[in-house]
Amino acid sequence: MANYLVLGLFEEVSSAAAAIEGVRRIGVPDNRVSVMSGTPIRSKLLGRRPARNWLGLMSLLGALLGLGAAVTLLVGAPLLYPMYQGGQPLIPIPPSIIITFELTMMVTMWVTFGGFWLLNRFPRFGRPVYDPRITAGMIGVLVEADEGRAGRVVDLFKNGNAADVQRVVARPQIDNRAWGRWLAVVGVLLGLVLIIAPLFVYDVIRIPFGTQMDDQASVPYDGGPRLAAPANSVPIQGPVFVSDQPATQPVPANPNSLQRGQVLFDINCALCHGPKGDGNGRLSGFFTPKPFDLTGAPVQALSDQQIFTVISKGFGVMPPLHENLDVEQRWDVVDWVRNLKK
Amino acid sequence: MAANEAHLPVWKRPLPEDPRLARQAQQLREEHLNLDPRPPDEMMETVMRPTTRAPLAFWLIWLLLGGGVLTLGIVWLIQMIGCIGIVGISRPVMWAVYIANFVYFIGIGHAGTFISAAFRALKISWRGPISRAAELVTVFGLTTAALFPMIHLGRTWKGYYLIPYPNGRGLWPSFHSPLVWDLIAITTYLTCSTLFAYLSILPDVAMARDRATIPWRRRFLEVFSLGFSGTEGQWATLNTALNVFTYALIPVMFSVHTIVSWDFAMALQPGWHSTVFGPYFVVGALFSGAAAVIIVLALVRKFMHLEYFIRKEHFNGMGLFLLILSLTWAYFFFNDYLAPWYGKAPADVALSMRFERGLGAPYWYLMLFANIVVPWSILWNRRWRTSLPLLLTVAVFVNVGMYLERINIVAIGLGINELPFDWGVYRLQLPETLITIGAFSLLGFLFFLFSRLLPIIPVWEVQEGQQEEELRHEGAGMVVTRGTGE
Repeated sequence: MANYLVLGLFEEVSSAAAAIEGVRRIGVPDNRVSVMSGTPIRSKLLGRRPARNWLGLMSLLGALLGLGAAVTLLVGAPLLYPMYQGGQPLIPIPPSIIITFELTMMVTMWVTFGGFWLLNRFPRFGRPVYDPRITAGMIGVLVEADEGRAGRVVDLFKNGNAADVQRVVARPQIDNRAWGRWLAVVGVLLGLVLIIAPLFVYDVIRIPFGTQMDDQASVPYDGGPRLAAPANSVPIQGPVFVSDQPATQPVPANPNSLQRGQVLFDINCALCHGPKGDGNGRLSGFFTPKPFDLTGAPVQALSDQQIFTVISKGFGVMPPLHENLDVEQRWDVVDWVRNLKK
Repeated sequence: MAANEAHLPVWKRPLPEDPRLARQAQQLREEHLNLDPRPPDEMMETVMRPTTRAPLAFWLIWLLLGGGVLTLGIVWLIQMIGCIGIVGISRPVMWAVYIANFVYFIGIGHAGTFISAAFRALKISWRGPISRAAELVTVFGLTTAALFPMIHLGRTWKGYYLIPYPNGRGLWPSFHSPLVWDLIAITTYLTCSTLFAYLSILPDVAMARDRATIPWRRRFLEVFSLGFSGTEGQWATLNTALNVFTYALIPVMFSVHTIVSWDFAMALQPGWHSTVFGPYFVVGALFSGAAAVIIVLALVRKFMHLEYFIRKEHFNGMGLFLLILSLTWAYFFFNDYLAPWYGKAPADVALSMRFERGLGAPYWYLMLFANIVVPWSILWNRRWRTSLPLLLTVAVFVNVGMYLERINIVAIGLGINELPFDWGVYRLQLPETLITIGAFSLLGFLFFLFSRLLPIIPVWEVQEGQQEEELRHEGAGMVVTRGTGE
């Protein structure tokens, strides 16, 4: 025997409440009655127990989920990829509080919204028994009952000030197949996104985005060929770092240069290498190995440019002196070191 | 008669027979929307009529705004191809108009949630008709704001570096950085404000759907309303959901602009490194946002003929709210000004000199005039603040003032730092000017689009407020949602 749906439209709360009470007396259980209205009406006004509402619980679960996600992200990411920054510990507490708060709130609200859809089976497809006058202030009481009771409900509504009564054969209120299809479509789309997006993210599919950084010519500092300097730039000052490329001009070992070299040597070198360059400076005792004897064959066998490089870049424990001596001063010192052999 | 009268819907109940009482009742009805109910059909018709019929001027302005949006897109593309160097940013001012716009648009997005959520939590009775417009300011303001970090990036296509996910580069965005806090906070705020606005619009969409006559519009509303039919369960879950959003969004709103302020305050930049920046920014955001809501309300009322819904009581309330915010803003501004002034750190002195007597002076003094002098001198008077042209003027001034505040902090203030050799001046260029104009157009464009499609007044909330008012007077058994017979 088919069930019937009876929709009664009432113009005020009290007559709707009376009708609901009557329906209860006919023997229709409360969960077969639903009330529709254009503005929220408290269930108590209609003499009904408020429907059980799981949404608050879902929000709470959402909050826990967000909290868990935040903690996972904030602890997991630094453990996977440790990155110290700003003098802060690996997992800094104050910034973590901020991120935890935001993520918890975000997931809470997303889950609440999702729960609102899920609990109400939104979106609803097809046309359930409904009347547009409900959003114009009428209260719709929808009753699902078997044939005998449905007739009595219709009479009850008609006698109870109902503005209109409709009766139709009940079909499943929610079209589960439409819902299933809808979920399947969403699932497939979501799945596709989840599969396709990582292909790009992890460079399985490479898109040749133009980056100016890749396009511009670049040369490692010790590689060649060196780019031609712009026409009116200052000439390069330095030894031959790149083979077959022009070096700086050594300063000729004239008396002036030697004198400058000696002064600079006494300031910058003599403390370790000794005033005579024999490696017996006042600090030489503190070093193992001792500073080189600059008058000896191993040093004097070096080319001028090699000595220049050692002064510029340092050697072993000897510090680089390019910040203390400019290029010409370094050549003066090279000249003085050569002079030490005599 | 008395017994039958109670069964009439409120909008049909006659005025009291005593003429003095009748006059009083009439006056109250004129003043308060909640005491002046009309049939739901008529209300919805008032709201939806302007969406179906638009004057030629509407389309012309819409086209103009569309042109602005198109300009934004084109200039952005040119900037992507021609590099960020075509805009005025240069050492030391590497953050300028784009970031100021970002802060400004995030800011005007704040009043929306505050008016909608906090007024809801506080059960402020007149919030009904203005909450939708306020929520839309939030949603569209944030949408516009979200563009600016991407525009500012220059290499926009590298924007995904911001998102935390395990990747082939072997690094995660650093959670130490305020910019990552900001990304997460704004994502939270934008998505959740949008969902909040969607939740509260559902019953109205259902109402509009039941009355739509144009087929494509009806179909659109059917889909958009998700089949909402107003059952007890739907109302109960909707109520719970709105409550959860209300109480979750208020702290999120405060956190978002605080975090925006931390983008600045975490840096050791003179003028930025201040502990008062958080609340100072939050109040500033509410201030400019409330003014933006007033502008929207005034325009909507005027051009969509919604005088029934948006009344003097709303402008009065909003005007007072704006005055309180102006006072609070001035208080925080003074706090932010006093400490460096007293400390006399050399860089701070140089910065104050730039604002008080230097090239920043016109903007600085105009900001103070627009944010303090104008609101204080007008809003204290009830008659002035309920006068629409005056209130609109104040609201526009406040928005100009708050925009200048952001420009002062970001573009002008960044020119002074601890190292005098590195001082500089930002010069505005054409691309960012056009993009800024485009951003304002985008905000208007989205509003125009919305106003053609969906109800801009939350009719169900208005009705709910009126019914509650009725219930308060009449008692539970007497609620009449639609009268018996004609």
